[in-house]
Amino acid sequence: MPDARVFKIENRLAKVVSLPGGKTVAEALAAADRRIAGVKDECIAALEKQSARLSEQVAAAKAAGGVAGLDAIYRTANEIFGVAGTFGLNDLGVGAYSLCDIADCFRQTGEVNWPAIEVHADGLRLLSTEADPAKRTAIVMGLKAVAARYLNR
Amino acid sequence: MLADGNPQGLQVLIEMFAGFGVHTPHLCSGAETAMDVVKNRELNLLVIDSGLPDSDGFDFVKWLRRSGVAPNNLAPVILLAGHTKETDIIKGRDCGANFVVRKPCPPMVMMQRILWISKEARPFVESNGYCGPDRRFRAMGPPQGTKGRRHDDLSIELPDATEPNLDQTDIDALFSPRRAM
Repeated sequence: MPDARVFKIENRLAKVVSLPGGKTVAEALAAADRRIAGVKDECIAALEKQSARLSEQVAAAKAAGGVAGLDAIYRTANEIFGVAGTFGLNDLGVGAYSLCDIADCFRQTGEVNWPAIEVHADGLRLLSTEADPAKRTAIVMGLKAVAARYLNR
Repeated sequence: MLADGNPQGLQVLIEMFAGFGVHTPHLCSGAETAMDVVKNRELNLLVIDSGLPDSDGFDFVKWLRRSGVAPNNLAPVILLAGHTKETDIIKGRDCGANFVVRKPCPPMVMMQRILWISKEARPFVESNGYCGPDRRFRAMGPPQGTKGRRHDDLSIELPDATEPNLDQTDIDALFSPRRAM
């Protein structure tokens, strides 16, 4: 392909959006918020299970050694991050993001500090069930401080 | 089509789009099933999680754009990104998605992106290094002092006038209201 080919395309989504009938934007947003709220309990219960599973993944990865086990840990933490914020569990989301950061950092360097990973897994398990905002904030601050030791090198 | 490897992530998308009035989306938990849907169904919009278990979402979109499966290869794509590594930022820019949206993506943000896509007129670009909607949202012309790579690239810098400027009568004529016949 010698040159870039630039061409117009049919915007089929525009046709669908402009079809008569349907909902107003405000109605659609209200309905979406309502429906997402309807699965909140189910999803939060699943997040607690994922947080517990994370500890098992960490134990298995540590026993196996090396960086190979970090992929599963990174994936689970990323999944927790993606869902937690949707339901206002921002502290859990921040903690999960911090774990993603250090897991990815250790994958790059090839050197894993398992206590740092373990403390994150424990922290996430606590964050998924802790009701006291002050305690959650303290846990998040602690996890961030741990992560900073490796990310700012 | 909604694709997310995490059951809860997919559930949130299902509920969101049901709220928008989309009650029977094609659901995929991985890139392989998503490829099957692309090959067999005509799609108006694809919402893809960047962390699909069997292939990341960036690679899936890249495959889609080069797949030649018309018209889906030109369909709008919203890519949802969770934790974003530095390399993912480059991949997100180059994969050919219409938008990369960071999670969590509330309904308001998703709706804004959908409405934007439904109104946008960005052309499609096919080249050796990139296939997807034009990554330039605004045509600002090529960088100063360069010629540009496209035949219709015009510099934002204006050259000297080659003809006489408009006189005041001409300018007034541009602004004076006229009766539409």
